[in-house]
Amino acid sequence: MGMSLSAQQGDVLIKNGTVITITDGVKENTDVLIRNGKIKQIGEGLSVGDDVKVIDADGMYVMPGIIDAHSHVGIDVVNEATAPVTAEVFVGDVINPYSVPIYRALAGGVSVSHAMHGSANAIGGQCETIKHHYGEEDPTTYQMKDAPRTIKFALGENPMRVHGEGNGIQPKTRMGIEQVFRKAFAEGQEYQNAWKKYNSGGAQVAPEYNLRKQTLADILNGDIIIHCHSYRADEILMLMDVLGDYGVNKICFQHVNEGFKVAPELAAFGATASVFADWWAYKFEVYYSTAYNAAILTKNGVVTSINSDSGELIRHLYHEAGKSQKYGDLTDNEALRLITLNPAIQLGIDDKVGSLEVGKDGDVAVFNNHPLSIYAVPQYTIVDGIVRFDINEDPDDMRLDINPDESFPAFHELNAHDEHRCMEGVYEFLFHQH
Amino acid sequence: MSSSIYCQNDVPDVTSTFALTNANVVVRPGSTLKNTTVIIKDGYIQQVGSNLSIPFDAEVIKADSMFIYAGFIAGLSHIGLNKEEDKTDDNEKVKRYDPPPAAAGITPDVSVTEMLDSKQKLIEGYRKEGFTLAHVVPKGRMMAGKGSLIFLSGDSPAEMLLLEDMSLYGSLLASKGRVYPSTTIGVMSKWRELYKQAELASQHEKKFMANPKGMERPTYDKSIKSLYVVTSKSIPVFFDAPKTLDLSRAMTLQKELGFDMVAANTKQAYKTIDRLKQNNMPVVISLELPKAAKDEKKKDEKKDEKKGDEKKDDELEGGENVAKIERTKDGMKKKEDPEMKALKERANKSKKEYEAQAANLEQDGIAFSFSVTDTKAGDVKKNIMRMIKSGLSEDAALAALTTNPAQVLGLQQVAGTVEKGKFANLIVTDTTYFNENANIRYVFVDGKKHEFEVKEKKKQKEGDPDAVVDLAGTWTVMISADGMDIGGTIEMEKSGDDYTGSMTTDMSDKTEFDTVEVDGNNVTIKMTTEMNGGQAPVVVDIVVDDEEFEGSVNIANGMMTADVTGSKDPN
Repeated sequence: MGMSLSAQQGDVLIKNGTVITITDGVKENTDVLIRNGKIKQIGEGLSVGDDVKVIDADGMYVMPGIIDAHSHVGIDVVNEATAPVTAEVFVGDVINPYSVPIYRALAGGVSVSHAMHGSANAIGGQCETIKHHYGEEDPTTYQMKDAPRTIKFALGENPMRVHGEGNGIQPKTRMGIEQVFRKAFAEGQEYQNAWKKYNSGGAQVAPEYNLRKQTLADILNGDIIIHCHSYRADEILMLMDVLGDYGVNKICFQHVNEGFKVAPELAAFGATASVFADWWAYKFEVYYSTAYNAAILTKNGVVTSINSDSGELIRHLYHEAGKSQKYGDLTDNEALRLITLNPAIQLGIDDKVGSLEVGKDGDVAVFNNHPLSIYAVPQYTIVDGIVRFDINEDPDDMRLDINPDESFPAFHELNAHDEHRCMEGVYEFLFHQH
Repeated sequence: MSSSIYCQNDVPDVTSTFALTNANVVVRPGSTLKNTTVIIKDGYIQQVGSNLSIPFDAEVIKADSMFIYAGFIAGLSHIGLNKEEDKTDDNEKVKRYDPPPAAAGITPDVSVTEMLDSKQKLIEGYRKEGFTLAHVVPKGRMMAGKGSLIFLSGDSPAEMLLLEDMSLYGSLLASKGRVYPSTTIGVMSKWRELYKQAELASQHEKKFMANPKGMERPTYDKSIKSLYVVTSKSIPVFFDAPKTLDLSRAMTLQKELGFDMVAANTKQAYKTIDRLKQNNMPVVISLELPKAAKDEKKKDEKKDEKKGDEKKDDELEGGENVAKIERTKDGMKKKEDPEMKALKERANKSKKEYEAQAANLEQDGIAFSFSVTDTKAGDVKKNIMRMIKSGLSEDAALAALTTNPAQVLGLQQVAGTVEKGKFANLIVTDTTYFNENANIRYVFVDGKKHEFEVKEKKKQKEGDPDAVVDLAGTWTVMISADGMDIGGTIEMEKSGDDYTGSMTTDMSDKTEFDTVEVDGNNVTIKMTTEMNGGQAPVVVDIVVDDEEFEGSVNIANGMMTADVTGSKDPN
């Protein structure tokens, strides 16, 4: 493989491209210099010594690395589906740097993704924002340093089916889901109060340690951003109601297909939204949707992003963003913000990525045509100044770790990663007879 | 040895003193003494030296030109455990979100001492391979239970047991019954929670014992209580970590929680060498290896041979633009394409990396022992030789079997080398252990002798080129291979100077002979038989003695060989 795969921060000079900064306009014939993994300079006619790799971007478009706010790429486990509240589990524990879909995401210009727990539980596990350092074998190198903690919540049919139908326990209905949240937050408060009492000398014996309740207390304290899988307007309003009662306001609604119905309410609450461009009607709760969702939310002042939730869609998020121009007439900058700065804001990492500015991380995607053009094909994807994808050095077999007892079937099976992974690990629960 | 006053006629051992004379004594890896005698008495090594005076009551074993090693020590194993019932409750009434600890795989209180069976087959199986001591752990899920050290001998669990409950065997395996925790992420957060709960409970218990007045009393939880020895670092956790990511995740837990960890049953430790070194973490590598690449290669070569014949048909039909699927006499078959070839090459490369794990660790100065939890006793020697072929030195291999596990298990004062005062655990081989054809003649465990016969290779009877034999008639034959006996009949007819005939056996239909060559009383019969959907050549090589014969059968160019004997039916 022709890439330097050992270092995690690099130097590269991207020369003479059309630079789409997102925050400072579009600059033609401009260079971007990355040093030690950070953007050092953006300007014309920059020069470097022989030690720096140079990419000739003449005729090409240079934009910030794409950020996917809803993904399950690169993790070995998606759902711990045995309980309706599993706030304590953490998908960052199961990052798999050998997962080839990470490389495919890089080939789609994506440098950062939000590796998420699935939607089987009302309160699912904590998620991790990862940098696509494909080539590194130590999973800890994927963790994006200082990225805020995030957690997955889920409303609607998924938790009701897994726990209500599948196990006969609450939640069986949407009102049940509301009570699961209220009970969980109340227990988190109780737990926090008990520890406060012990720590201030008000009790002799420490309360029993409970990682789940501790995590709920952390959510109440504003230490964790909630990302909530949601579709219907009624449940979206319900959750904002519950959060209001407990003083929590860090929330990004995911999918939020009926978000267009409650856009002003979302904006007023300060909630953000991460949507599909045009994916709906695969379940009854996703029936009432529109391709104008992203545009309507944007025009109503809601920070909106477009995500993939799929190992397939992640490879062409730039096309997904382009759809918002046909359905909603978003400007080039508004459309590209949906896959760069806005998801960065939703993940709390907008001080580090999401635009090309001096001082930010050297995450860059280079295209042969304007990224919103149907003819766009990513050429290079750079993460922290290291070229992690180069279309000219793209061997057929990009695997890093081979199973020595691998069998070779006569046909190649459909890769499960390409499918919608939100309910992975859960089907046995649904079809297991009770 | 127990004595009793029941005055029964149980036969005691004649003597507990042995003298192994004039051998090559490998005291420790890299240090061999020639013409040296080892005297053991009452389970301990009394003396090691030359020109020793032999005690009057010693059984003398002449070990000239033989090699004596310290008995092997298994760093991790499941040897000597009786069959356990499945403790996981598949009971539908179990709450999936709040199962009893046993259902979740949380059984750190389980002690292997209650599961020892002195008659268990593996004990003899591994003793035959030279193992004398083993670290035995229970089978289980995320916290399987406590391990103990045992001798691979003894008539009762009490006699076997050397040191009890000296480790916790843990892993990232989720529950069997799909109850919480059912995934790796559930297991990792449960590990964190249980550990912290144990730390707090231990503190609470101490506080309560010191001054209980008015204090909330501790709740009794046997799983949590059994973890106190782990949180206080009195015993280490042997963390099962076969693949790189398992090891990486286990080390993440170790870093956060601080327990003493031994990386156990690793197959890819070479990928995390830096972190192992940083933490000074002991390593117990798996003795199990993937199937060797060359077995696969032989199959491929056969396929290519076959294809050679078939290719000619293709060329007649069109050359370059032939279809990827071809019609063969066995049906429609896919032609091997270059992508498959490349995938197989990468898989073989990966096999080689696994084989070289031990050699890589040696190169990087990391001492390791062996785990046999997923290895068959019969594969031990084979796999060690494969590791040596991949670059492991003999000294490092011996250290992994003796001095290193003694160190990791805290036995360095009493085991691992052939020195005065240590346990009389010894292996005696007829030549250096690292010779492919070496045989283990004796294994001493806890001072008791176990002797092994050497299987002689059956010598072929010499043929006589001047003898005259009459093969015509019906012969009853017996083919023996791998402990299996197959009966059959051979029909022979003489036509002129040549013989024709056929063979029928219990396992094959009547097969006509292709050729019968007679040279004196040496007879070679060639035929072809159906096997695995293809044709395989069979060669029968025998020496005929009047109405009897004996010899060998070779099937498919050496893929299978067997002995054969036959006798003519009186008619």
